[in-house]
Amino acid sequence: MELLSPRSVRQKLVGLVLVATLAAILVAILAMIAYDLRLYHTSWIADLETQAELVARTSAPALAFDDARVAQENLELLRYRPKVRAAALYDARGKLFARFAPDPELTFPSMPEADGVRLDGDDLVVFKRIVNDRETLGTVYLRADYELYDRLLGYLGIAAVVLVAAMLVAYFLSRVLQAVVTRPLLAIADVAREVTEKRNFSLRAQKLSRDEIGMLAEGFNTMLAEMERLNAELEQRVRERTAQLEYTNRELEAFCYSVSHDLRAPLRAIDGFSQALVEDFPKELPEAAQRFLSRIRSSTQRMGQLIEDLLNLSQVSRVSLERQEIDITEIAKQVTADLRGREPERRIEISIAEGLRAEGDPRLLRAAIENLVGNAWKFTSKTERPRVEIGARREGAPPTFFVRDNGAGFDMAYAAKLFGAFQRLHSNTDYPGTGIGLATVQRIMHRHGGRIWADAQPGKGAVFFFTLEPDG
Amino acid sequence: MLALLLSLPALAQTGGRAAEIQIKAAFLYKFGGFVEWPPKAFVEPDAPFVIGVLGADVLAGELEQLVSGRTVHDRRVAVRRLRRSDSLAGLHVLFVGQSEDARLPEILQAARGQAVLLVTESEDALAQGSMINFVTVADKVRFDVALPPAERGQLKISSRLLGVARRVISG
Amino acid sequence: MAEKFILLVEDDADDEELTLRALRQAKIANEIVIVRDGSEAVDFLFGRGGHAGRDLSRMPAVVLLDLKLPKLDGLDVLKLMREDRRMALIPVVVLTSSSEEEDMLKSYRFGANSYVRKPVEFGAFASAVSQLGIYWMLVNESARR
Repeated sequence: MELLSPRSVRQKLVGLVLVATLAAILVAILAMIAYDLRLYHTSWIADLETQAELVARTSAPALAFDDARVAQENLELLRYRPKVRAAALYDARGKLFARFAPDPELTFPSMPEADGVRLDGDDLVVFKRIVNDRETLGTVYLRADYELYDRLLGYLGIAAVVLVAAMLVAYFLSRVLQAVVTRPLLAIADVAREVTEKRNFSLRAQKLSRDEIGMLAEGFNTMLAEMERLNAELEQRVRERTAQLEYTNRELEAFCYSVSHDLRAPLRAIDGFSQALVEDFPKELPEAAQRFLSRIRSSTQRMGQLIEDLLNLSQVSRVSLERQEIDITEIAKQVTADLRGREPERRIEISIAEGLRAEGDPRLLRAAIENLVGNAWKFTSKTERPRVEIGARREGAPPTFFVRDNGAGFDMAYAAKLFGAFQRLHSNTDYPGTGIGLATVQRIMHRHGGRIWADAQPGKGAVFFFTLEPDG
Repeated sequence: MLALLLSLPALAQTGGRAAEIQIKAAFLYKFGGFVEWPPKAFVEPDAPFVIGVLGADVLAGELEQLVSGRTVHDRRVAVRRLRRSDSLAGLHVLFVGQSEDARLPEILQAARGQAVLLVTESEDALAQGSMINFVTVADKVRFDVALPPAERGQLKISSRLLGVARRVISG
Repeated sequence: MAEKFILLVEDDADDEELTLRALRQAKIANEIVIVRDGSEAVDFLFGRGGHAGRDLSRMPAVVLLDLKLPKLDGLDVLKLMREDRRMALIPVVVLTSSSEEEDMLKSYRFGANSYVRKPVEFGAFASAVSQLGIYWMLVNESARR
């Protein structure tokens, strides 16, 4: 048992009782000792003074009539008081008249002192004048044992034993009796611990006593019941909300489906018939008209692309994330191959680091990489020696991947707009685009718990960094 | 001076008649404190304690010096030198000196039954009716006490005095 | 052997015209039979309803099937075709503007031979169609019934 910092209520209670017992007993013992010793002191002194008085009275005649023998006999009666170690009578002139001392080594003062009692080493010394008819006949001298210190030591010894015994009794008693208080409390504590560990709010504490602890148990149970109820309510609400969300999600999916299908068909008609006009009526349509039709066509195609991108963006949010081990290097290579396939005449250096691995959704990440690499491809179209690099930064966790190009770049002042939907940092004539791609990529990264950011210089190129896990 | 007088024992041991007289005078005074007189012995509350001395003028002189300012039983002490024919009335203590040895029996007889402490310094005085008789033993002044005459005179001699007496005759 | 013809199942008039245009541009001169919805397609293939009494020995060499059709859905038509011995082996090309992966998977699962998305840009559309036509009409040998 740690004496200095008890951890349990039991130990504290027992410790409390022991301290109180110790204090009470100490006070009692010390008080008794003090009282007794004081009593001893005063009564012993009174006794000696009385004894001196008696000796004085009985020796008065001997002194008056100069009978040293009788005086001696009187003194020797004191042998029946072993505590009186020596006695003497001095005559009226202060000369030693008679003496008595069993111990031959004892010395007597040469002159009597004034009446009184004083301590001389381990003994008490008493002087008392003998007066008869207002005459001082002489002085009585007594030397007696003063046992105060012996008594004190004796008492302290007893006190120590009593104290130890009392403490033992107190300790065992309190250990047994503390259960009255702690058992109900510990019962509650046990339930509390289990509730905390298992988060099981259906448990209840037993009310084992009718004191404040019993009230605590009741209050605790009331709380638990409330929490159970709230929990159930919460879960009910969550279920309802989830059902609502699922319903909404399904509606959204259906919506997207019809969008993807129904919006495209009219666009196709616009584009197709515009083309038909140009093809079938080359002579009837003036140059300007043909140009107008061509602009109609390109707008239609842009819109088609926009629909595509918007659908992708919404898909990213709707689709459930499946985390798998993916090979980013492989995806990048495939995407690059696709791009090359579409524009085989483009001369562009693409470097892909080996062994880029991560955990994430393969479909979403493919879309993201398509977008990033596609951007790099697009924005280096006017660069002399275009170069695109795909890799990962070595240091830090989580791993940071990047797509770097030396193309048009952009002004970092507008970096905040980079990932906003429909925000563009270049005009459509310079580089075509809908402005949704990066918003989609950002959404993909965020869904993985990671993030994406960019660094660029106008005319020098841009690098896009992304992570697929939360930081830290 | 007084202390000196009271510590005569030392001088007594070195001898000398003068010393002996002084000691006897002192004892004479002191006897009073160890004896009880009947109430009729003191007529008035402020009546003095009277010690009569017969046939010992020097001792009387010593006694007179000794008792001035002193008390016995809280009474002032007076010393009366007596002539042969003086009456014993009003005495509390009577000391008969050695010089009156011849007349001792008739004096003692006259004082018989009275509340007067009879103190003598002659041999056989106790047998003749004295109550306290001085003796000299080994150069020390001691005394013997006879109780029956004291009882006849209704005097109570304290046992404490008896304790220091050489001999006590109790009848 | 009777002349090969193409069955085009398409509800949208614009898409129909553009498809025909694309086929013409691809120099496919075969007869093209057009039905407007899924139930008419089934009627035609099985010789029912408005097409009762058709010569059922004449089956299309290839069916261009749109998925989103009124009345009977394209996939249902496909299923019915594949369940009938007579039509089980007719090549079916699903032409649709849907880009949903689900649709593609289902089409293949139900027995489509090819799945082509209809792009917005006509040029791409035309080339997609012509590629189909060339493939199926000139290269492919229809299975003997």
